[in-house]
Amino acid sequence: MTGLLNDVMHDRADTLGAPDLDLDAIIVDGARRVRRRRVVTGLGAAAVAATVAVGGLAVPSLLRNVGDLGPAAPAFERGPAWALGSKVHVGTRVVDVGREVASFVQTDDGIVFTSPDSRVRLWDGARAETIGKAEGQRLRADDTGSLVAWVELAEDGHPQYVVFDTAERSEVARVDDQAAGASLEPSDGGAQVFAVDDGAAYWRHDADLVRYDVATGEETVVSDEVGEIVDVAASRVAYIVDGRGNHRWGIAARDRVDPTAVSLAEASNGFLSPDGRLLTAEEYDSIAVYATESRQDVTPKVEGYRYVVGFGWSADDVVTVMGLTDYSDESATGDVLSCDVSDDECTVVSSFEGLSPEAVVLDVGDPVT
Amino acid sequence: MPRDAERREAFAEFVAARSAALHRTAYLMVGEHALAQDLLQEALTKTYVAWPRLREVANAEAYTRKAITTTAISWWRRRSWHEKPHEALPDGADLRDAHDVSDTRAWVWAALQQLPPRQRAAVVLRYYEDLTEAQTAAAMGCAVGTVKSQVSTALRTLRTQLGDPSGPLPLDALVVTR
Repeated sequence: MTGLLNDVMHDRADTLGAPDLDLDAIIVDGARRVRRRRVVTGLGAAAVAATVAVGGLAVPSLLRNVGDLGPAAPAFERGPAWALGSKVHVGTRVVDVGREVASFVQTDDGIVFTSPDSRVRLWDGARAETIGKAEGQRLRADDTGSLVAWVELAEDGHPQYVVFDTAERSEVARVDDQAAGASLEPSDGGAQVFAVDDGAAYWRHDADLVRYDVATGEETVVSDEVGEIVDVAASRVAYIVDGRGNHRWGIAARDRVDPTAVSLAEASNGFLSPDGRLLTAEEYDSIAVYATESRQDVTPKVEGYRYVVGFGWSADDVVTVMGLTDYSDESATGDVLSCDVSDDECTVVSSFEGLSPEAVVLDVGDPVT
Repeated sequence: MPRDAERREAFAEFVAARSAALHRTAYLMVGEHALAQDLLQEALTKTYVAWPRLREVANAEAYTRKAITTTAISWWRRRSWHEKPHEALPDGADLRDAHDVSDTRAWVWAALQQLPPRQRAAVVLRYYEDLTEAQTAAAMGCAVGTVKSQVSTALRTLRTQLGDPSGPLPLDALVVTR
């Protein structure tokens, strides 16, 4: 295009010299942000022993009085959760599951966690029972229900997908993935459970991403073109698009996976609300929440923090948020909040002070490895 | 080579190759040399954080351009840049008072600086970076319709500030689009 406006902008821009950038400062600052991000995405370097300076621990009371509940009510009350050492904070309560937590998720029956030896345990409010061993210490569970899934290595070294029902206290599926090889890294095309939703687990089989119906054992291909599923909720799939053509790289969310879809959020980690209507992700160093149908930005205002990110949902409109008021390489201080997207209201659920940033584990199912 | 060292080396190559062009975009967004440099530094820091997932230089450049755009707009929202003086149009500005080409260009530049940041960003991305409306929308993190309205409003504002549409600077002389 030509034109006066274009000419003026080019004239002005051409007067600029080379920028005087401090590359070392960019890299040092960037590396610091990467370390900080590990606090909330579970993608970090080796976990270190934590020097804890949290408030007094509440009496464990996570199990509801079963006598007060109807038949459909879950035995375990879920809530915004994070762990430090063997202490798991769920909502305003704290419980000690007896072993250091490397990663964890919640089901309707308790907390399913891995310890540093990769053993998977179900804590049911009274005790922790070993139920398996998860390579990579990655766990996936649904927003409701009792299914949890992970990858185990068989005796000959090939990966197997395992689905465990915490209500039945039994394994309900074990599926070989001979073709996936021993790699467990998603980026290497290795075996990986991506999500559990509505009675189905989503994992990689050969080069395909598949949906495995636990009740029927039927496996259907979700996509043979995209490389990674981020989350699934109410049958809506959030997945990575690679930015081919004019599209931007990031997360798309559709009922049917389309590799050419325009991404919703420029991020690699995200969480769908239980009804699949909303997606939260960390985008450009801050929380973002998008409506998956309308693509509208509905990010709640979370003020008073230097860093804010969403890492799950406690209801269809209520995103779980971590806000840091202060952080450094050595310590982080902040809150876990519940923010209602529909009315922009946030409430502090629990707080922490002076924690080692790489020791905090969130209930996203990934370890701080 | 360790992964971190590879990352630093690849990032340094990207900065060396593309920082001058990205600096020019940042400058057009904010209109000040020093502020443009700060903006670029911040955008490149964000790019370094995202670097392992960007994979290709084209993705990295698009990511940095978006970071420049969104950061400039957020700085304005926080008022850290909003009240900085820009080259203002004199009272009673009218292009018909401009006597030569250099005057005309100075007026256009000053008027561009007075646009709200979103409108200015849309104009810079569309008419300097020569991005399509879809690409501009991606860089701004908004819908294509929003880009259209931002650009339309910006051009209307420029036209109004610079004189009568039927005068010496009609819209089609201001920009000729693809």
